[in-house]
Amino acid sequence: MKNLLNNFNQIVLFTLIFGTSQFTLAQDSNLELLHVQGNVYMLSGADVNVTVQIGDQGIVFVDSPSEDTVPAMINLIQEYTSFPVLYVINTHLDEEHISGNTILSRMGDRLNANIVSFGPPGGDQATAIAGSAGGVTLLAHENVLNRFYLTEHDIETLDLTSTYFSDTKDAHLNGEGLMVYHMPNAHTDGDSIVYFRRSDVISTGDIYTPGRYPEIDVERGGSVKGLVEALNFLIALIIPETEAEGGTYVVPGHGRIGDEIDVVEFRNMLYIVMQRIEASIEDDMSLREIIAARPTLDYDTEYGGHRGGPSSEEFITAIYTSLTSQN
Amino acid sequence: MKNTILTKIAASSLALLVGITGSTLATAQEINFSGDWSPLFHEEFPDRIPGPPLADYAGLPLNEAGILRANSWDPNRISVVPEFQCREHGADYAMRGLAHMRVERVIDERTQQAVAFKTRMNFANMERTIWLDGRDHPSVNAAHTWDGFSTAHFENGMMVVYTTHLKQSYHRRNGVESSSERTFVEYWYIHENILTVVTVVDDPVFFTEPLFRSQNWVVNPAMRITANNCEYVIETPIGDDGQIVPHYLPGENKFLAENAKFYHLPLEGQQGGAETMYPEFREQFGEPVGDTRICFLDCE
Repeated sequence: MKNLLNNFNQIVLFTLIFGTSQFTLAQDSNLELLHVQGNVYMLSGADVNVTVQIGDQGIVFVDSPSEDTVPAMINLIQEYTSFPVLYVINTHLDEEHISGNTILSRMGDRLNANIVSFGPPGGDQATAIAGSAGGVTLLAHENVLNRFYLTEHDIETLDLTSTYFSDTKDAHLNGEGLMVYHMPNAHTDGDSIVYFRRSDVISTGDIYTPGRYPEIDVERGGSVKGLVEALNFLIALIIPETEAEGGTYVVPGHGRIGDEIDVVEFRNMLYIVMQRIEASIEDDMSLREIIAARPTLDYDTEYGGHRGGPSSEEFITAIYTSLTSQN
Repeated sequence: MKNTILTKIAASSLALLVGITGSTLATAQEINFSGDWSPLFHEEFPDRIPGPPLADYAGLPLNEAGILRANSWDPNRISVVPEFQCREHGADYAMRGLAHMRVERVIDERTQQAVAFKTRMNFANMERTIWLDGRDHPSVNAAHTWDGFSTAHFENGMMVVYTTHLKQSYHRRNGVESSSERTFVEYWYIHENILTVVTVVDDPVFFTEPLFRSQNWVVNPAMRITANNCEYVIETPIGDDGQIVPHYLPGENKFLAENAKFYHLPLEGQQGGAETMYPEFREQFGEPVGDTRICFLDCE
């Protein structure tokens, strides 16, 4: 029976790859798989960047794109491996980062999933929800699950097999240690970043989005000060190789691959704009007055909504709301 | 039979001649920039050697975003943000900077054709590759570097270089930032022992029109380049209420008029803008007013 299920999984994977790939490739001609470093790649050209780790055990994804994009993505990955999907880690609840979970969960193998090592026995790191889905572990922070059940969202279904509620979660996959860090109250209150230690690559989700203002989702527990703290944590984790360049590379939720100094510039932007708005609030200016004063004037040509992401007004409003609601 | 052999010899000779001529023609326009070059500073010496004064953006085609970004800049940022301490110059500013430059031609052993130039400058281990082999520029989502990605071709006795994928850096070392979206074109040419490089920088984030600059180097066989080793350190303890990114709030930078007052010039000119790049601008603002004697200490 187990073999039959495995065969069924392979047939589904084969059908998905070869049965739909031409049509999907025509739709997703902008998709490309960029080698970041070591075993880690970045799929770009979809609504969201997807981090892909490829190794002898299988494929690990950080975030999953829309179901329409998955077959074309798998087609690109097939140039490197035919191993099944092993693990999907979702950085947060936004639909564009999580909606491919269901289809990816059909591309796995339980045997591969069983050789994943979770942290120390008896620890509080792994919380099973429904067990593995076809051998694929689907992991996110517990607050992703809580927000799905307890607050409004755009997600119709949420496929997760495991959550963690502590500060970190670790795993050893494809010959390297993975550290998952919870970033409390940043973009949301369920954000994770994933550090591939041997490859020396960090996948940030929407903590870091070069070229577009970050979205601070106050309704779902995000805060501007928490986001600054998350970026400071990220900067501390990154080690540049020389002359403030290279070393640890960063895959953002949207935009281009970066390194430490790129994250520093992004943090500087957020910090400076936050302080401008904070000073305006101390001067008893209303939100409307602050927007009219254009505190993002010198950043709008670089970040201001022209590549997706929040507009200047939305960004200012989110910071104002965060600062005045003490999130 | 004899005619056939002669025909074949003639054809072979012609082919050889065409091959040689074609090869010669193909390389005729190529210029070898290899050598050790030292910069000449006769252009904008005060700006490049002692360094620009605070809030002097004259001659830069800044838009309002570029001006506010520069006015908000606090020089303390260089030391308080440790990650800034070991930055290289961006490749465009590097051509403007102070450093000696070594240029080496990279030859494909198989074809004996030049496939690239490598440059190395005597500051922050700045190394750059300028590709001549017709390769494409990387994906827009590839990582950016200080030196960017450069490709070149030869045209009218010059090497024309196009560079993309640059990191955020500075157009001038007084807070005038350059964006990672900028690109630049260079025109390299040699006359006698002088190398001239004209750069045309296009920065859609901070400029209203391209910035043209020219730089000169002289052959200097005695020039030597040293290795650099930079490791950043925390120099300033930051308290709970301290700024982790020093900056001035809009309207609170009290140093903006300092240089304009010193030289008795209008502040509007110091704040840059495309019009300040052109000679007509001087006529528009007229001569300095008031007591134009320059005072260096304790002046009123």
